[in-house]
Amino acid sequence: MGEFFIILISAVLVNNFVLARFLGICPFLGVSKKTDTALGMGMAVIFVMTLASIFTNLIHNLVLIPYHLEFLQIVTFILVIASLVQLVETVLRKLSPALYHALGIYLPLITTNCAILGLALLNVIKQYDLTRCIVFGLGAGLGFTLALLIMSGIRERLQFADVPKPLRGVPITLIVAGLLSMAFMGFSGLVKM
Amino acid sequence: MHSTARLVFALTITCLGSALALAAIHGLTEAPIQEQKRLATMRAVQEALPPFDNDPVADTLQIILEEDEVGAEKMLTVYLGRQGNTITGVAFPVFGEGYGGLIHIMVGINLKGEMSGIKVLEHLETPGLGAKIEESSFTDQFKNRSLENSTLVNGNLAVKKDGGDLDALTGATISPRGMAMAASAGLKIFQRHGTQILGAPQEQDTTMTIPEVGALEEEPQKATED
Amino acid sequence: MSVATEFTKGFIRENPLFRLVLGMCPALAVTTMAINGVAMGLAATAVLVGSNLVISILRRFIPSQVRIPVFIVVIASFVTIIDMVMAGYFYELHKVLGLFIPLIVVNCIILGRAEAFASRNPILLSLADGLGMGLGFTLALVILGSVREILGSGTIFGVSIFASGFEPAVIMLLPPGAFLALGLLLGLMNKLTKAEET
Repeated sequence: MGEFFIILISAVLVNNFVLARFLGICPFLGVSKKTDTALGMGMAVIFVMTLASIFTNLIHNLVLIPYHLEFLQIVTFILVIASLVQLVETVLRKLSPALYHALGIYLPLITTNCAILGLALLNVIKQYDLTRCIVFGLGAGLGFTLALLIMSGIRERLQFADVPKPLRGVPITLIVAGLLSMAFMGFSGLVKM
Repeated sequence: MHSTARLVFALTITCLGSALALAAIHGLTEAPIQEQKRLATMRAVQEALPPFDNDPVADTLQIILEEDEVGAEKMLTVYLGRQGNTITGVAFPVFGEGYGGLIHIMVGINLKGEMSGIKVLEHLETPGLGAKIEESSFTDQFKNRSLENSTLVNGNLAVKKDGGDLDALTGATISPRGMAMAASAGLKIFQRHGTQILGAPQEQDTTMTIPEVGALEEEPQKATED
Repeated sequence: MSVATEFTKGFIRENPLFRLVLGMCPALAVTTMAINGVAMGLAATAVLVGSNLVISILRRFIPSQVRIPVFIVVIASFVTIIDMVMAGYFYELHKVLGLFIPLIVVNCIILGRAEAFASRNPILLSLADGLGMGLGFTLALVILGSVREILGSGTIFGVSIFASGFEPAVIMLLPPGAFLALGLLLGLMNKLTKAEET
């Protein structure tokens, strides 16, 4: 139990996917303008990350390794993620239109979110078993959402700030992200791996 | 024209083509990749082992560690350095907890149970601070250290701050602490499995222990004879 | 639309990193040293040229409904090839870039060029576009890597450039430094090109 907690905390705070591992920067910059869209995106990412963690782990252990096809890892993982996103979209539309409306527009964007593929590859590198993969996927998603939410909160305030003209838009967002990342560095050393 | 069959066909062909191309390239690059890995291991082993004239990467031994042993893979590959036919030292990978994650090192140990050298294999320490554990100015202090000739804290090597005698780095204590942990793990593993490892040519552990017991019994006999 | 203009547009006018703000993840992650920027940039360029070429050749045969999956498979294949070749022949660099080689797959620049350019243009133009965009990306990574290396370690391409009294600002090598350096560089770029825009 303790180890799962450590994996979770480490993925959310210490090695935050966005602020420490530089994964998922594009959606982090793109959909952090408003808090409610940030929350929607975050939820969709948590959902897909956890599922992707499970499926890529199963495929890697049940198909790629037994048949010595590790060299197809990148191709299969990205296809699994793309199909998964498609599947989640279709299923959600049928089963829960409300949830679909909340998450729907963010789902297609997730395929090209490098945090998902990064997560799948990290699971393999870290040699996590299925349960650890799920916990790590959940933690990575939560960490992404946390970073996105904090950022969107700041950016809503930033609209009223007098930012020097050349820095408006992406540059000031990056600088804010830098300061956030500095704050998150305070968490390093919080847990022992 | 745009029937589902056509879409499936296009996707299948793409995937098939991709798989075939990758299989071909994989076939071509597999040997160089293995060679690179061997060379990387060789470089690490070379730095860790005392002088040798064999090929330690090919001359290995698998030992299985017990449950209470920490800081290394349970199935441990030990690289043997020999001169002529006698073993001069062994090297094997161990790890310790650093600041950003595990620090993996190759530790070389000579027959006296002293470290002949260490080489950092992988780490996630802070560049410019903890990452200096890689530099020889830091790793050199491990040379010739053993569990006997160093100040131990709780049975392990330790940095000065913790009461040991290893120098830390400016601005980084946790990374050197991780190095001390990894090195101690290596020394302890050698302490426990040394006879098993050095008896490598005999292949079986049992044949190894029997002559040793015999040797112990013989000596007092010799003493009485004299 | 000539080959020359397609080739040069990626350097400054449509620089993927500084102007289009694409490919941020590798740009931030690997640029602790200028040399890593070169390696990452060239790896991405190789993938970009390869995928642009194949997609341009296949552009008439790919049904538009499945074009994105087909693009992704083509790109992923080239990335795997680069990954294997680097592991086989440039072991140390491969180790440094690590996870970010496979992640070239989801680098928006590659898919973006496939969708926006290679799937609509003839082979030669697509090659020029891929090469130009790739080199532009490399250039941007080298600039970012140099700034971080100079400030963070006091060296450039591993060569020390300051007297021994210089105390490097380690923060530039850490994640915050990456964000700050890129943010300020983008701001500088905006300032310099402002006249051109208006």
